[in-house]
Amino acid sequence: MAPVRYVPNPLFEEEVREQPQHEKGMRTITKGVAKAVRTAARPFRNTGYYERRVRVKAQSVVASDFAWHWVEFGSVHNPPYAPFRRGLRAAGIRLVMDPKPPR
Amino acid sequence: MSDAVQILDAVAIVGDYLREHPDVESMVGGRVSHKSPSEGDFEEPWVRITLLDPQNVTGNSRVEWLVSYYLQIDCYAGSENRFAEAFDLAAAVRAALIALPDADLEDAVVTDIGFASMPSQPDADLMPARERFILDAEVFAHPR
Repeated sequence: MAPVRYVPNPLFEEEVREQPQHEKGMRTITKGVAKAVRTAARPFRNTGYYERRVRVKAQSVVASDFAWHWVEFGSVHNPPYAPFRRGLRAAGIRLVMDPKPPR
Repeated sequence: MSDAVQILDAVAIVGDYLREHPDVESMVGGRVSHKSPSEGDFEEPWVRITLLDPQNVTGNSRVEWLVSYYLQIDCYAGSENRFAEAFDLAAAVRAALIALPDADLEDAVVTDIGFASMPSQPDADLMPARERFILDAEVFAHPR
């Protein structure tokens, strides 16, 4: 058998994202993440406005509360409640820090 | 007394370590804490450490031995509000933490450390918005 040369497709990720199966799979994940983010926001709930502004948009989870960055990162007068980062971890999504060593 | 493993006070461990680190100490003195300085005491730069999430990552039947402590470390500029000051402080903190697994700590062994991000996120709760870098760090540690 003749050797086959592998040519990476630079549009691979983009093409995969457009597949309906990928969209369906991502919908399940993003719904779970959004639920976990809302759960992480519950302990500091005041009016529930922030929770209601956490939504699934296409293949992302977004917070459209105008003060999201204060909630997430805190300020000099407020602690960082970090509902997104806590929610992501609670949903089982982990940042894998295993870089390849430099050449 | 129960032989259950006690979760570590990662904020205190990292805070003590940073306060004693010469590069960080030269920039903030002892102003490394789990809370912001008192109202009106924002002249000098400071570091605030918040524990966002401790998660058990032991990976075997041993209970709560190796834990991933997910920390937010805010590095604030002083009243001159220089971007470079906040960045230099964050860089010094980051460099100090990279050496944390080699440090001889009294109650803990840090096995690894990683950084998720280090965005520049000025704090608009102060006027004018105070320069700040936010270091997202994950510290893996177990009791000694």
